[in-house]
Amino acid sequence: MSSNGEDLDGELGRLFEAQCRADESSAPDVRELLARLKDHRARSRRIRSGRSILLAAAAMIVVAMSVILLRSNPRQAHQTPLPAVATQIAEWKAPTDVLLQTPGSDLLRQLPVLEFRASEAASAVFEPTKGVEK
Amino acid sequence: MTPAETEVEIERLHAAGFAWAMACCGRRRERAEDVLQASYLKILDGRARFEGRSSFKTFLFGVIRRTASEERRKAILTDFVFRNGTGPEESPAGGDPVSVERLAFRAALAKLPRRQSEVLELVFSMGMTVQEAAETLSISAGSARVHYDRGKKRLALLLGKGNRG
Repeated sequence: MSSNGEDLDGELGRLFEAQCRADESSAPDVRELLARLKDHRARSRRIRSGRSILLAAAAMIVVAMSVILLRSNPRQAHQTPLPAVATQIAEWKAPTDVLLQTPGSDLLRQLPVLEFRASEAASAVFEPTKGVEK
Repeated sequence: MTPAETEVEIERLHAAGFAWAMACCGRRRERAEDVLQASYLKILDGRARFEGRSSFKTFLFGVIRRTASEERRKAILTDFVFRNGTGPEESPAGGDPVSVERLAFRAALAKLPRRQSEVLELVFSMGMTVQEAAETLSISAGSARVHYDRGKKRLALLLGKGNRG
């Protein structure tokens, strides 16, 4: 092989070219390869869609099961009778309760009511009093 | 680019793409076919999208190189686990001088660092400029130029040694 740069390039070019041509000539048929790829893509698309349908069905089942469970639990709670002890405790009143009933204590348990009617307010005439000479 | 146009481009560059896949796979034919198929699949599925920033050839060769790297990593693991390492597949029969020369050339090329051999393959076999080779390999033009220069010198040395021995 020559030490000259151009000769070296030429020699390498020839060797690479020969190798490339040999590789290119042994390439598989492109149409066959693309057809195989199309089949593969269609198959994987089917698998993907099947998988998503399965996932959606599983999710729906989970949702339905949880709704059923949530609905059935409170009903069960209503149906089961309270124990007698619990009823007794709820109805128990302290004997000293009467001491808390002071005069005016009912005012603390209710909201004040304003006696005000809208129809009266509309018909009412307000006369100015400020800065008016009598 | 529409899918139909992409297919036309793939068909046009198929032979060169296969030669490049062979180069990326150490001339293992079976692996090169797998890599090429996986690369086409990536492009047709839209996982690798051509943005038009370079030529389609540069884009395609870049996808093939990346796919070959992924396959190589997988193969290293598989070879390690199953211990089924395979050498280059092709071994032409007969002692004709062209085949012997080609085998010696391949052996010399295999001794080069991967980047250097890739740049040389792209420039000499695929007719790319050093700039295009750099784009394909996702490296800077300066690095590609250094790899090209060093690779050429080393290959010449290796071939010269082979000729003398």
